[in-house]
Amino acid sequence: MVLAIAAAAGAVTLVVELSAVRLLAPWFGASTRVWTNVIAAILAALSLGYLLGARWSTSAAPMRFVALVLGAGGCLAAWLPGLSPVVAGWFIPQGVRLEQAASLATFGSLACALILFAPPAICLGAVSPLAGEQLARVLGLSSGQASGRVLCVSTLGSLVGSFLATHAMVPMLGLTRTFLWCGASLWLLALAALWSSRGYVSPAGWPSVASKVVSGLFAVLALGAGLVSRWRAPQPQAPNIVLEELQSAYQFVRVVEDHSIEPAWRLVQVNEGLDSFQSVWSPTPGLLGQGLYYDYFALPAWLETRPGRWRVLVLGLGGGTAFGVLSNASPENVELDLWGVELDPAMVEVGQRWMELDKYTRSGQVLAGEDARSALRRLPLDFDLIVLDAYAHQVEIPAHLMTKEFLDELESHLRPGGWCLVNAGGFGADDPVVRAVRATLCAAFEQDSVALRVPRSRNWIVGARRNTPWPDPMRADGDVARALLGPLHAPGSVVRGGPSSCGAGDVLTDDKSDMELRQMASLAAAQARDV
Amino acid sequence: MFERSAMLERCALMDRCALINRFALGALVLGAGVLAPAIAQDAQTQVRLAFDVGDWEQAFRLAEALPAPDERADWVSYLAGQAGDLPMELEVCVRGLNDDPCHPRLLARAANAALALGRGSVALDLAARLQRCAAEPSVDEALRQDLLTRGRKTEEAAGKLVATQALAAKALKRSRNVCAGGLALLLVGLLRLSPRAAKR
Repeated sequence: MVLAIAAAAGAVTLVVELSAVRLLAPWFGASTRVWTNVIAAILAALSLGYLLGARWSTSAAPMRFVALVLGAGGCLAAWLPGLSPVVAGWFIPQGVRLEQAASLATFGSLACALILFAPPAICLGAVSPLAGEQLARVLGLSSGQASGRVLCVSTLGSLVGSFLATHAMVPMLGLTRTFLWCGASLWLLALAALWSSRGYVSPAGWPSVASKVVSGLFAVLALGAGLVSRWRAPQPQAPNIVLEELQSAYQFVRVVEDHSIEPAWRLVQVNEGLDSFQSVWSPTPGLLGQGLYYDYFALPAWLETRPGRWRVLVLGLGGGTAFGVLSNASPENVELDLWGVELDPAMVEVGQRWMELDKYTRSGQVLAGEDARSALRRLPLDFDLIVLDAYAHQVEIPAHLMTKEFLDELESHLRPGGWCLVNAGGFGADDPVVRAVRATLCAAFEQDSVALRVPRSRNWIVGARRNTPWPDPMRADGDVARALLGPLHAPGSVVRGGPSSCGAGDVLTDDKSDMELRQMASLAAAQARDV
Repeated sequence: MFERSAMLERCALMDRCALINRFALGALVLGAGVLAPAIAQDAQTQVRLAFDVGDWEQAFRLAEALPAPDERADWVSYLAGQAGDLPMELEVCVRGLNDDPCHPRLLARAANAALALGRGSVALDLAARLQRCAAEPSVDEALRQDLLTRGRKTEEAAGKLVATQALAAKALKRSRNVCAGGLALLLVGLLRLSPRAAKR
């Protein structure tokens, strides 16, 4: 019984820890900083719980304390879905822009983690020493033997909990039910611990009246949690409406219909969203218009003016916006053969349901659920254009997808003269992220890289060609090319640099990549400019 | 180039050249005085024509070469706005407003750009300026109403931006305090429960 309790407590600890970030993600995102904060708060609380358990383990009936901490932990866990929107709302006001939210995400997520997740973690941490003591007393084991066994089953429980949370509970049950399930499990364990400790009464007679009061209070709290504790992501402001919300294996995904434009557009937002989105769908075919970088993916076909088949690969396909733009805005004499890779299968499903993704591609050419780097190795070697539009945590290009080594691999999948375009979020040509993308492309392709400012946005499109210099990016015929290139005549909108001028200090490698720090520096600089 | 130097050589040989030169200079100054507004208008028309036919490069070049600072700011900021370069649009407008503080188009454009960029305090400042300029006696009634309406709208939108920024600053302070307090509590708990403290 004791070992079963320790194992179950270990499992629930990991379920709570891994699902905790999901509770906060719609407000603070799920960046490495947020993960670090949540893990740090839970680890600090667990260590306090261990000491608390050690203190109580000297009592006459440790199992009664096990019942107490499990009951308390169960109540607290069950209330997390209902409390987290309220607490998160205190630390991040509505309407904040992405660049303003950077420091709020760092401190806000830590504050939330301390308020929300530290208390149940303290309770769960107290279980192990109490269980160890109980085991030692019942079986007459040494403290080392008892604690070794408890730690073993508790860690194995954590192992099961980590798989359960990521692969089963959150995607299948959703967040509210996952936490209610955790609360209910802890409650059942508390009852079991109470049952197993019958007959033990402390010298002070502790369990009699007080235990009834505490049990009654916990029962009310648990019942209340079951009835009213519901998690709800912040809703978009009118006139936008939510078409679909889901928890994927990776993130919170939401499809929003934007009625401030008529006919209405559809946006796919993930996690904190703020004023950003991952994919967009317009009912009107053609270019999407200023502010949307996807339009510039159509540019290479206009610059090269080569008719016939163009095999295009989009890494980080999302809901398939790039496919829509390429299909609707490429020259008429170009026949597209579109391929895509997307890590989160839910994004592809959402694209199929709401963004006509199936219309643009043949079956088997969208690799859903695969990482771009590993998927690339299995793909053809003759792409005419590869678009890298992969983002992690809303704002960061995943570090392993912006290194010289990966871009070397990517280049080998292009035909000679083939094009590579990277969507880089940044606030100017000198932005640390844009600089790194330019330098890394230069180093990998050993060619000029060209950075194009995307009008009315915080994006730059950075490109290079395999074994071929870029043509003058401002010279292309056709209405679409003119519409795309015209606005880039504003000074500083096109930055071109050869391998010698791209800045060796900015080249990112598998061994050394500071992409996350650059992203933070970029957002901090933008925020400082606004102030 | 060759023809001009040949003419200068010939002039040096002839005494009358000095007289001719003075006459030519006078005519040029007089002509420029009479024709300047027409030429300026013509230059602006050329900018518009270039922009209308989609020749952005030419439009930018001509706009930046406009001789009058207010016209230059007006056109360059317009083109920057059309090109979606909002920071440049705002910067050019603000520079232009230093020369002509009540230029209505520069004021309106600067206010829109500041709002779109989320620069609340700049937009609030521009809203106040729009309303101050509406009170100028030289402003006609239609323009006054336009400036007042724009000023009010900008003030409202900028007020919301500034309020959100203030809320964000408060939330940041709150979260820092909670972090410090929470971590201190955990530390105190650890110290109180540590074996050494328990022994005491």
